[in-house]
Parts: sequence; structure tokens; C-alpha cells
Amino acid sequence: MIGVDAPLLRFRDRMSLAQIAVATAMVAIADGIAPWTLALAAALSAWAFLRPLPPVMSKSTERAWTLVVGLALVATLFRAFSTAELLDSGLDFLLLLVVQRLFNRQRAREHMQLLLLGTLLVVAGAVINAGLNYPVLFAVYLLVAAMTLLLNHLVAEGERLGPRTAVTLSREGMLARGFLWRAAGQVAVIAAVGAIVTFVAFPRWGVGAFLRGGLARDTKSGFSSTVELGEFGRIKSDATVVMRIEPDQRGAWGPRTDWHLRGSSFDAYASGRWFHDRDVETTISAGPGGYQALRDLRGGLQLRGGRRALPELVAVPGFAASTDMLLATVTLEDIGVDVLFVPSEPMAVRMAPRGVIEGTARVRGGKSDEIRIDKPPGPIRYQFVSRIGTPTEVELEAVGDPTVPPAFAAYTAPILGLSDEVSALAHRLTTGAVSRRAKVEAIMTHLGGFAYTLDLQPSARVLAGADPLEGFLFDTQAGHCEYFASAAVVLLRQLGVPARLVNGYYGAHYNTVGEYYAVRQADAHSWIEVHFGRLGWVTFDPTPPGGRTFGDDAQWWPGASEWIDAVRNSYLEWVVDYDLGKQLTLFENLGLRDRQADTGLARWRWLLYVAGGLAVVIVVAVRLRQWRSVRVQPEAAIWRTVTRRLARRGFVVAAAESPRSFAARITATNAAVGRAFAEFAEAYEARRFGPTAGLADLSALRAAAAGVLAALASARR
Amino acid sequence: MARRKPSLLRRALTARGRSLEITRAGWLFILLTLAVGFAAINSGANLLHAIFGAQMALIVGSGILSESMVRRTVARRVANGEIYAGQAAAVRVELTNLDPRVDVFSVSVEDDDRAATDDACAPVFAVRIGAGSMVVAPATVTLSRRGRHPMPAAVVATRFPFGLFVKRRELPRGEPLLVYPRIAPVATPPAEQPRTEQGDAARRRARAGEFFALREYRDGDDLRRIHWPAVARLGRAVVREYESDGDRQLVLELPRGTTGEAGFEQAVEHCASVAVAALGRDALAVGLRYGGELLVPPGVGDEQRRRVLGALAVVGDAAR
Repeated sequence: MIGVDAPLLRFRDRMSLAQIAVATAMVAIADGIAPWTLALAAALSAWAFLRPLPPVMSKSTERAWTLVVGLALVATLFRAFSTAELLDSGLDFLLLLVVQRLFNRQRAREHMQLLLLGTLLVVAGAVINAGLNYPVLFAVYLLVAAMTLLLNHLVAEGERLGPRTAVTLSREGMLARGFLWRAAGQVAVIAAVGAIVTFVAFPRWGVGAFLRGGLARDTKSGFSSTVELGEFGRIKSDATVVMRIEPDQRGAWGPRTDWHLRGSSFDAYASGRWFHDRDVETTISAGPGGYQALRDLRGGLQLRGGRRALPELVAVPGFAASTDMLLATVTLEDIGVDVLFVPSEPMAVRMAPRGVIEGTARVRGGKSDEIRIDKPPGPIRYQFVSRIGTPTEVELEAVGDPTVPPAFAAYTAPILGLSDEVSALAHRLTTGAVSRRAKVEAIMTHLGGFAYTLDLQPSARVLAGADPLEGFLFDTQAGHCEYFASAAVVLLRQLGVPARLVNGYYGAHYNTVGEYYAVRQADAHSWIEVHFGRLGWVTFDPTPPGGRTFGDDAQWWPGASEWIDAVRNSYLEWVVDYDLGKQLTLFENLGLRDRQADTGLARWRWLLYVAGGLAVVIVVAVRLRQWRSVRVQPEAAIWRTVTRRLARRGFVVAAAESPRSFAARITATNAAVGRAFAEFAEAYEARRFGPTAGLADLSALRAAAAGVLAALASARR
Repeated sequence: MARRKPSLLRRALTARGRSLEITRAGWLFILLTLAVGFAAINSGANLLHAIFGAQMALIVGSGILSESMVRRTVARRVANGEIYAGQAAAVRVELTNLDPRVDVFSVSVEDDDRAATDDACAPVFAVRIGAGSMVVAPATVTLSRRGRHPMPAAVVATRFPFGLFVKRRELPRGEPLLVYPRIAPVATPPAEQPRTEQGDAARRRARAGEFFALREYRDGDDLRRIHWPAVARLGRAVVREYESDGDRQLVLELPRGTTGEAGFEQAVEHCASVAVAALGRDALAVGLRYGGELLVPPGVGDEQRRRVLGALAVVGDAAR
């Protein structure tokens, strides 16, 4: 073996590390690896890479690593089964194996194992990374891995063929680097073409024999079952697009919408934390149009319609806009939440299947009209029906101050742990207000005078242990949406008005490139809902208009952001969500599939395809068998080709006739062909019967054969 | 020549002088590809389909690339000098890329591992052979037995591009080579005697000294010794012989024997060793007698050494 510091080995080392780095990035970008794990693995890898590599791994080191890997395997299995973190634990174990191999990478075999580990990381990335970065990194990985494989192959050949060859090979390998890069590029292109063809054409069966499980990650704060006050403030400057909405009527909503896309909702508050107290979950059942509809308090449906027809909203007496409906399709990025976002009052949802597995995402009811799902990893698509209309002030006033049903007792329960000042404030603000609308209006007006800020400074009262809301209401009178909404709910509860906090997104802006409404992380918002008897829950937003981002453009390069996001959306639609339906549509558009293929006799066309395919396989198998059974020397094959062509022109070689006499016979008829054949015959005899059957003679024979065929062609003209 | 029996799979993948073998890394890669394919079909996950496609393309591409490397490469092994049994001799391996447009990468010429023989040729490897060009690599060949033998069975092989598969093509064995007997160091020639007049063959001959006689030209004779007037007169090639100043000769006696028989082979090797040692000394003519018949008349010099060794290379009765 050549020394470990040979240039070719160093080059191969660097490429090995590069391919592992790219593969790890494909997983790490999708948050597949905990930051501390990644940092530790990176530090250990750097150490392994920079330290002098011993020529041979010592037995004690080998035993120590075996022990470490064995223990890690046990820990991984325990973690996988006990916490269901199958993917996370598996990835951590893979990283450990990578580090172990980097520390012991003397032979080509170990580098091949590193390449296999890299491939496993790439496969894991395919499962969890739905980002646009994946195809880019995949293309880079193909090139880097191809070059690494090439170099490792050369080193392996050196190890196999002995030290003398290894030294020569190391020198020549370095000299041929440019050519090797070109070859690696060509191989990467072949692989990429294979990937694209398979991706487009391979039937999406989705057998689902072994469903994957335990892949769901932690729920993102703000939309989980409990929310700490102030969590939204941190994401108000994040311009990442989290949701794309395609209404059935495109463009009918203007460049910006004021939809309140509700996600999670809470009925109880204590010590700066919102949570669920009412233990009743929303009832969801099969509704019209294949939707899963939410049932109201009495178990009734607010939708009507046939199984295949589009649903319609049931009109609410005294609510003119109650039948105003919005139907749309949402692509929700994997932001780690298990809640669906639907504007205003959600009526029904329908999961758009993302392949067979993704189609199994189960919709389940949440608390306080939330719609939660058992979410698979990656982005999801769903359609919703929502009541988008809002009651007018007159309609709200007409409701008066209705009696709160016992089932809604949790929404009227006063918030405990607050000082009496809060209750006194609520009553003072609503003095003289009789109707529910008037009470809500009074509270909104009071909060409307507060300032919107993300820079929260706790007051002395809060520092002394009081609830942050008291500091907001009485001291700072400044905060962000969560404080406004929380304060409104708290004050209304003091008055016995059923109210709840809602977290979601507010507003969306139209992406003219992708033709959809984009919702950014910065649009995260909090508001309230107040129950108005027969009119149901009505949305109110106590945050001053200046504090609502209202679907703003990205701060930097808004035009470019639109383009990038549109590409990302197309990637999700045509790559991540590519399914059998899209496959068939694509084939139809390409003219490779008849739209009427499923009707009439054409339905049996597949039998013809199967029979044809079978016939081709049989013919190929028979020909292959014949080809294998006859061992033909190359000169004999060339002789046969030439004599066949001559026979077609009437020059048939007689039995037991020597090539030379045959040449003489041809010359008598056609001198040019005869001369050419004489040369060919000489070359043939030299090759067939000469003392040296050198391969160089074969080239001469081929040239002579070409001469005969050329002479034949000339004679024909 | 006996051949080792290859595995069933390798036999199935061998035809018409070509063979395909899957390496251990290749098996691992195939298994991984099948696993990804299964996961893709099972889950319907799109990106897994893409990875599966890339892996399949790499497998198919590997096969096509390796086939094209082997098909375009022509290899020729040429012995550079004398070959002694059991000793490494220099050979020149010429690797030619027949394709005038495309380079050839990573090809080797190595012994056919199916051949059960002690003969061996050191492998050579070319990282790149430019389009339409030739690479010459030095190597050595070791042939275990004296006689006329072809080069050891060899193949042009490649594991290009990734070492997942080995594609081989058998090389023609080529013209048989003359392998001289094994030479061992011998301290002193065992028998020396004064040269006496015993007809033409008994005299020591050299280029120096008095003219002795004309004789038929023999293969290996110095062309400068051809006597052209006599050639013109007689119509056949003849050379001049001179009486040298040397006056001692050694005629080696080799009893009849059967080729391959251990005792006989030892005797042949001993004769060859003595002949080489004796011909290295001045003024000593060496001849060879086999079973009482004078096979090589005594003579001196390098040509005489080749004549004696050549005779010893093929001497012996055929085994029944």
C-alpha cells in the first residue's frame, strides 16, 4: 500500500469528507439532526480528518470502537422503541458511524462504507427534507459522490494489484484529475437522467406494506396545546412563506386579503400561559362533497349538498352574509404544527392526498373548533370550506346579550389569579353597555388606545410578581397582538361574555408569479372570538391596525422573493406531491396516454402491451442463448459478414473453396471488388492461420473488410 | 490448461470470452438500491423514486461504461528478452485505445484468475489511455516450466467507474515463447578436457584465429560470418569457422528422460546451469549430448549459450 500521505489518497480523503458533508447537509437543513449532535459530529470529524492517520488501526482502537458502536446501537434501539423517535435516533447513529469511519479510513473499503453511509443520509434526507435545497444538494452530491467513487476505485485497484501498481496509479491518477472530473460529471449526468426518468415515469403504486411511524416532530410553539404569552413576538420578523392558498376564484380577493386564518384556540389562561380547559373536542364527520365537516354545538351541519356536488352553507337567520363562502386549497409547509389553518369560521376540510402514505393523514377534532390532524412529515395540502362573511353591527346588536349555553361555561369563566383591578376595569369600561356588541366595542375602543410594540419591558408590577397582562393593562399599555388579544379575552370574561383566544395568521399577499396567496411566518397573529348566540363565534381583532402586518411583502428583494417562492410552490406541487394522477396527466399532455384509455375496448389494451412485452423478452432471451452458445472468433464473424454481403451480389463462396481462389473468381467478374477481396483474404489468412493472432491484425482485417464493402458499394453505383 | 471452476453466477455471466462479476461493494450497492426501490414503491415517496432512479442509472451506466472500456482496449504482451523457468522476465504490455474520440479509463491487464497455473504475469494498470493512443507499461512474466509455452492466460479487466462490477475480456495467448530451464548458481564446471581434433564439431570455433572451415548457416549465427562468395557459389547460406586459440571443451552429457519427470528436469536444470557457468569462462567450448547423440556441437559465445539453452528447453521424451 502506498503511504497515507500520497497525493491521490489525500485527494480521495477530501472528496470523501465532502460527500459526507453534503449528505449531512441534506438532513441537517431539514432539522433532522439536533444542533448539538451536529456540532459534536462536526468537531469529531474535523479532529479525525486533521490528525495524522496511522497506517493501520491498532487492535485496541478497533476493540474500543466496536464497543462504542455496540453501545450506541443498543441506545439507538432503546430510544427508537421507547420514544418512537425512529428517524432521529437512526440519524444520530448514522453520524456516529460516519465519525467512526473517518477515524479509521485507511483502506478503500472504509471509504466505500463512508459512501454507503452518505447514501443512507441522502435517503433519509429524501424522507424529511421537502425543501427546494434538496434537489440542488442532490445534484451536488451526485457529482461529488461520483468523483469520490472514481478516486476510491483507483485506490482500491492500487491496493488490489500491489504496491508497484499503486505507486504508478497514484502518480497517473493525479495527472488525470481533470479527465476524472469530466468522467465523474458524465456519470453524474447519467445518474441525474435516470433519477428524472424514474421520477416521471415510474408508476406511483404506494403499496404501503410497512407504514412508517413515529416520524412526527415536536409541535411548533404558538400552535401547540399550550402557549406561553409572548412567543409570537419572536417570529414577527420572519419572512419565510409558510402557507400558500389558492382560492377557487383566483384574484377575486385583491392583492392583499384580511383573512384571519385560525389555527389554535384557547379557553383558559393562568400565569402568562394559555391552555385548554374545556375538554370537548370538535366533532368532525363525513360531509357533502367528500369533505369532513365540523358539527355545531347541537351536532348539526352548517353545510348541505350531495356527495359529489360542491357544498353550500346553510343560511343563519339574521345573518345576511352567512352564506358567503370561501373554498380554497392550502399548501402548508412543515412548520411542525398538527393544526390546519382555515379563515374565519371553518366549516369543512378535505386532505388532498400526497401519495398513498401522505393521504392517510387523519383529520381529528381539536379543542375550541380547532382542526388537528395526525400529520405525516413534510408539507401537506388540504382544501377547506369556510364561512367568510361577518355579521354587521346591526345584526350583532340585534342579538342583544344572549344567554350562554351551559356547554360554553368554560368560555365565560373568569380568569383566576388576576387582581381585582382587572375586573373593576372591565366593568368601568362597559358601564352603560347593555348588548354584547356594545360591551365588546367598549373593550376594543379602550385597547385601541394602546401602543403596538415588540419591545416589551416588564413593569415594576410584573417584576414584583404580578401577571404580565396586568403590567400591559395598567402600566406599559404597549405590547403586541398576544397581549391585546389576551387582555380583551380577560376583560370580556370578567363581564361574563363568552370569549376565547385564537392564534393563527392574519392576511396574505398575492403572488402574481405563482398565482396564489402567500402567508409568511411574520403574519402570525392573535385575535379573539366572541360568541353571539345564534350567529355563532364572531372574530374581533383588538390589535391596532398598525400592528397587523397584513400580508406584507418580503423586506428584501420582494420581486425575487415572489419568484423563489413560486418555484418552491411548483417544486412542492410537481415534485414532492407528484402522484399517479399528476403522472397520468403529464402522460396525457405529452400524448403518451389516451384520455379515453379507460373506456370501451381500449380498456383491454394493456393485455396487448403485456403480450408484446412478453414476446420481446422471449425473443431477446432466445437470441441471447444462441449468442452465448456459439463461440465465434472475431475474424470468423468478419468473414461471415463480408461473404454474406458478397453473396447478395452474386458472389457465393463455394464449399471447400479457399479465400484466394474465391478472390480470383471474383476478379474475373469485377476487378475492383476482386482486388479488395484479395487483400481481405490475405489479412484473413494472416489472422486466422498466421503465427501470431495479434489484435493489431484484427484492425487490419477490419480495414480490409471495410475496403471490400466500399468496393461493393462503388460497383453498385 | 486446467481452469479453476468459477462460481455459478460468474459462469452465467460469462460468454464468448467476456465475463462480468459483481464485487462485494457491488452487491452492497445492489442491495441498497433494492431497499430504496422497495421503500419508494411502498411509500410512494417521490424523492425516493428519484434516488432509486439515480442508483439504477449508476448500475446500468457502470455496466455500459465498463463494457465500452474493455471493448475499446487492445492489449498486447511482448517478451523483451530471454525467459528462464521460474524466474521473472521482462515483458512489455501495450495498451491501445482503438476509439479515436473517447478516452479509456482504468483498465488493467492481469492474469485470468480462473486459470489454475503457476505461471504468472505481473498486472499492469492504466489510469487513462487517450483517444486513439497507446500506453506501454513494463511488467514481468514468470513461467514455471521450460519448453514452448504461451503467455499465461490473461484478461483485459476494468472495474470502472466505481468498482461495483468487474468486466473482463480474455486476451489471445499469442505465439508460444521459448522458456529456458531454470538456472542455479554453479561454482565450477564439473568437467573440462583439452580440445582434440574430432572432426568439424569437436573444434573450438571463434571469430579470431585461423580459418577452419565453412559450414551451413544456423539460426543465431552472426551475420558478419556469412561467406558471401561461397553463398553465391553454393546457392545456400554458409558461414566461416575459425580455429580459436582456446584449447579446452566441455560436452555436457544428458541421459534420456521424460519431460516433466522430476529427476530428468533436475538433470536438465543442472546441465543448463553448468552450460551457462562454463560459457561464461574464456576459452571453453561447450556442447551438449543427449542420450549419447550430439545435440549441440561445442562452441563458445552468446549464440552458443542460446543454442545449448534452446536445446535444453525442449529436450526430453514426451510423457505417455
